[in-house]
Amino acid sequence: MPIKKINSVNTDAPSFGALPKPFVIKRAKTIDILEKMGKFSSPQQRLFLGVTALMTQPFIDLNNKSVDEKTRVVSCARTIAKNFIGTIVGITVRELCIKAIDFCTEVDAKKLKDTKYFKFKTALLPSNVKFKEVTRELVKHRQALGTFIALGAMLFTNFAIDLPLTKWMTNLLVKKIEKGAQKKLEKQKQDKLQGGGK
Amino acid sequence: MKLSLQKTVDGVYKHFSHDLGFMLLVTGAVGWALSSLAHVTAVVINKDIPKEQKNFLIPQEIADAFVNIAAFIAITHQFNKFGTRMVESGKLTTAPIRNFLIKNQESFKNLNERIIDSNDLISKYFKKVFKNDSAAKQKLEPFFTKRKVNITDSDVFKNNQDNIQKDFYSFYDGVDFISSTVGAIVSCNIVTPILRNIFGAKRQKSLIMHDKLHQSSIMFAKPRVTLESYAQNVSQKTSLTSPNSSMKI
Repeated sequence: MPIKKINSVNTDAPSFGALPKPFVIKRAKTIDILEKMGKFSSPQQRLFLGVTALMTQPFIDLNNKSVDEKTRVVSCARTIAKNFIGTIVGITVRELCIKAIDFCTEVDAKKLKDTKYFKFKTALLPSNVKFKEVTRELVKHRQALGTFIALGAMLFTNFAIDLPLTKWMTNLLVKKIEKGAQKKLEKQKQDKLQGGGK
Repeated sequence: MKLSLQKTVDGVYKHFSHDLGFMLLVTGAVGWALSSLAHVTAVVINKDIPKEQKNFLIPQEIADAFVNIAAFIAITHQFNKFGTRMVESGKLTTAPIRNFLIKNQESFKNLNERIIDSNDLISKYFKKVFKNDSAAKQKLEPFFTKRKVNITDSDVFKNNQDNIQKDFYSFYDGVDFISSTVGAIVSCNIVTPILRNIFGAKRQKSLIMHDKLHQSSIMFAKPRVTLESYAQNVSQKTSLTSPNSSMKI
């Protein structure tokens, strides 16, 4: 990161000399939780996003009053299917990509002693830098590679897995919702008839 | 084959490993576009979904990709930037890091006089535009370049005293994860579905209107005169048919 000196001193910038009142987390347990979350990567993030998507998006679709009820039902069913399948496939693809990249960017000397699959173990390491341990730089390189490989994998999984499964699950959910609605209507009719008979 | 793989790996390391933010933006945009394409295809080929619902679902899915990309830049990225900036500037910190800052406050005073923000897009653009004009650069620099103090740029931090780097980066990564996840939840799971539904509904209404207009135009339009129908018409008018005989003159 290049650092450039300037002549004038900006008084608006936060000054560590004056130590402005910062928000300091003192509880060891909170710090511990934050540090543990720092170790999470894209599969965990996809899980958080997927679960919250299933908690919010179907309700937003069901309460979309600018469309008719049938469209709302189909839209809600499709959103559930899309997010459910997308989350499962997304987590699996990410986990597999991370495992593959970790395997192909091995720097541990002990593990490299075993010459089996040696070519694969170092296949994704940059040729101009020698890593002796897992540094922050290597982690960033793994993340960058992971993003690329996941994008390539998505090309395949989106069309080969997500597409047919989402279609199948949407139809299944729409049929179930429609059946449930029909049963409800029939029950209401029966209740009315029974009430009239009495 | 092996050579091209190594070249790709080296290229990724050289160009993207140090600037993951930009790469995530590009790959994210491509990913959303691909995902949207797959889901649009899923709706189009689904014969169980009626046309009226398809009129809503297809534009809804297309809007999903565009809104997602825009919301990522406007919300997720900003949430993430805000969170990490708070940690980098020492405004959001933990007790051990704060103690380190107090202990070494003299060495942080100099940081105030530096421009550190090389990752800032405006700063990058500014540097590119005024590359060869040093006079203009000097005059305009204060307006275009943000001055930001970053703990990690101090020499005392770089020298890894009191093992502060481990504490700092563990905390930084935690805040990074939380801020980007919260930002993504707000943008992808709340803002995007609301906006895509508004767009989808508008498009559905206009398509239904278009269909109705098309149907009414077919109903009220004069039938097209073809040579065949004209000949038939003429023969009907000129033929002398009797109800009892099939003979035509």
